[in-house]
Amino acid sequence: MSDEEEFTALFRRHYPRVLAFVSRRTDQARAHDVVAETFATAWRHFARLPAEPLPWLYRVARNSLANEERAARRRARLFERMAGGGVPSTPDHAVSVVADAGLREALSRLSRLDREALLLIGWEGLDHDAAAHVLGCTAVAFKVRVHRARRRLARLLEAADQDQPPPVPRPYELHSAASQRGKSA
Amino acid sequence: MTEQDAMTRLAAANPVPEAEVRDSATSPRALFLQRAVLAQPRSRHRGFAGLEWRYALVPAALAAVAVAAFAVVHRTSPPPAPPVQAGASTATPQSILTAAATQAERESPRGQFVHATGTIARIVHLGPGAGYDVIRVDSVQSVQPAAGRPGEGWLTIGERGSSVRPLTAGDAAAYAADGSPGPAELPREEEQTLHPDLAGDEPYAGELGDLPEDPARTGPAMLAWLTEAGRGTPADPQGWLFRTGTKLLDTFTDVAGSTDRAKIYRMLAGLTGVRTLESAADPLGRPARALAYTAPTPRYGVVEWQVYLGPDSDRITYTQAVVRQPGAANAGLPAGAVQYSTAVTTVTWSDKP
Repeated sequence: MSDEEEFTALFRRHYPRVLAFVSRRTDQARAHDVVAETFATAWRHFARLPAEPLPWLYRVARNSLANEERAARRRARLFERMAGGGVPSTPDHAVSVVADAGLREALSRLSRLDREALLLIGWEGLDHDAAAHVLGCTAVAFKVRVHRARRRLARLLEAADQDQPPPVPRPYELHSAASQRGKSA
Repeated sequence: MTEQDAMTRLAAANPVPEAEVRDSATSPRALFLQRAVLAQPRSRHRGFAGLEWRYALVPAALAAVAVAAFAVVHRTSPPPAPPVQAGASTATPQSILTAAATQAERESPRGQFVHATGTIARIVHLGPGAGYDVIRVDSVQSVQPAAGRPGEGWLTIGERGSSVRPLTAGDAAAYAADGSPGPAELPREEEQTLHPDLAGDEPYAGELGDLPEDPARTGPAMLAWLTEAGRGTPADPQGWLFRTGTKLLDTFTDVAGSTDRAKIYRMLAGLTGVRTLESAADPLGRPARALAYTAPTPRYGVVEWQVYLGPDSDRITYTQAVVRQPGAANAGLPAGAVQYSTAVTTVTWSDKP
C-alpha cells in the first residue's frame, strides 16, 4: 500500500473524531482550519506517526488551537490598547457550549488543565495513557490530575445545583495542585 | 453527588456527539481537504521509528559525502539532467500541479516585464437562418509588469493580424456563398476577452497575497471572497475554482508572482474532478502536460476546459474549451468542436516595457 493510500485510510478513519474534538473546543469557522492544519501536519510527519495516531492528532490539534487562542488574545490586547478600554475575556469555548448551566458553572471554575483532562475522558472517551499523551504528561501524572479533577467537579456541581458559592479549596489541595503543576504540566 | 454521577453528567453534555460527525470523512469538504493535503510536499524518507533513524542516517551521510565528492571532482562536466518526459498519461493531476507549484516557487526573477505573444481563436456563428460557423483567429500581444508587480501593462488583440476560416467542410460552402467575410466584417464583440465566459462565472478580484498559504484553505477563501462580495456561491465550486485559478495563472496577463502562482497551483491540486489528458502535446504539437475539467454550462452545453503546461515549466502555454455536448447557444456544433482557445507562442522577459 502506498503512503498516499495509507494516509487516505488514516484520514477516513480519524477525520470524524478529530473534527468532533476540535468542534467541541472552538467555533465552526475555526474548527475546519484547525482540522486542515492537523492533517497537513500529519502528512508532513507521516513517516514518524505512531501506530495509533489518534492521540497524536489530538495533541497537534490542541497545539493548533492554543496557537489560535494566543493570536486571538494578542488581537484582543491590541484592540484594548487601541480602544483604550477593557475587552471582556473570551470564555473557553468548550465551557460556553455546554447547555447544562450547573455543569457550565462547575467547568468554568476548574483550572484549564483539569477541565481538559476531564473532557478527554468524558467527551473523547480516551483512556489514561492516550489522554496523557494529548496533554503531554506522564500517565501517572494524568491519573493523579484526573482523580483530583473528578472530585472537584463533583463538589462544584453539588454547589452549583444548590445555587451556593463553590467551596474554597482546602490548603492541602492548593499545595498539591501547585506541586503537581511543577511536575507534569 | 458522586464522582461517577459527575462524569456521567459531563458525558451527557457533549456538544458534538459522535453520531453527528460519523459520516463527515466522506463529505465534499473532507474529500477536498484530503486531496489538498496529499498534494502538499513532504519528506520522502519513510519508516524509521525511535532511535533507529539515527543509525539509518549513517549510510545516508556516507552516501551524501560520496555524492558531494563526486560532484567536486566532476564539477566541470556535470551529468546531464534526465530528459523531461512529455508523456502525461501516467501523471496524476496532483503530481503535475504540485510540480508546477514547485517550479513556480523556484522561478527566479528574469526581468521587470514579461512579453508574450500568441493567438486566440473562437467560433463565431454567422448568417441568416441556420447559418454557419467560422473560426476567428486574432493575434495577441501583451507586455505586463512581471510576476504580478504593480504597474501598468498592455494587451492588444488582433492588432497584428486576424483571420477567419470556416469551421467544417459543411460550413465552407455557406461561408463562400456568404462572400467569405473577413475579420472586419464579423460582428464586433462588445468586449474582447482572452477567455470567453461560457459557464457564467463571477470573476475573482480579491488580493492573491491575502489568500492563505494552506492549500486546503486557499479555495474556500476564494469562495468566501465571492460570497462576501455579494456574488453568491457558484453552483459548481470545483469548476469555478479550476477556471478561475487557471485564469489567474494566465501567461498573457501574468497577474501572480511566484509565491501566489505556487499557492494557486496547490489549490488546483486539491480539486476534485480534474483529470489528466493522455495527450503528450498541445494542439500545436508542442510537448505539454494537459489537464481537463468537464462540466455543464447554462447555454453552451457540456464543456471540457483543457489546460496545457510546458513540460518543464509552470507556464500555461495553451488552453481550450472543447464542446462535449452542445447546448442552446451552440446547438449546431459537433461534439469535439473547440469553442475557444488561447495559444502562447513566445514569452520573453526584459527590463523595458
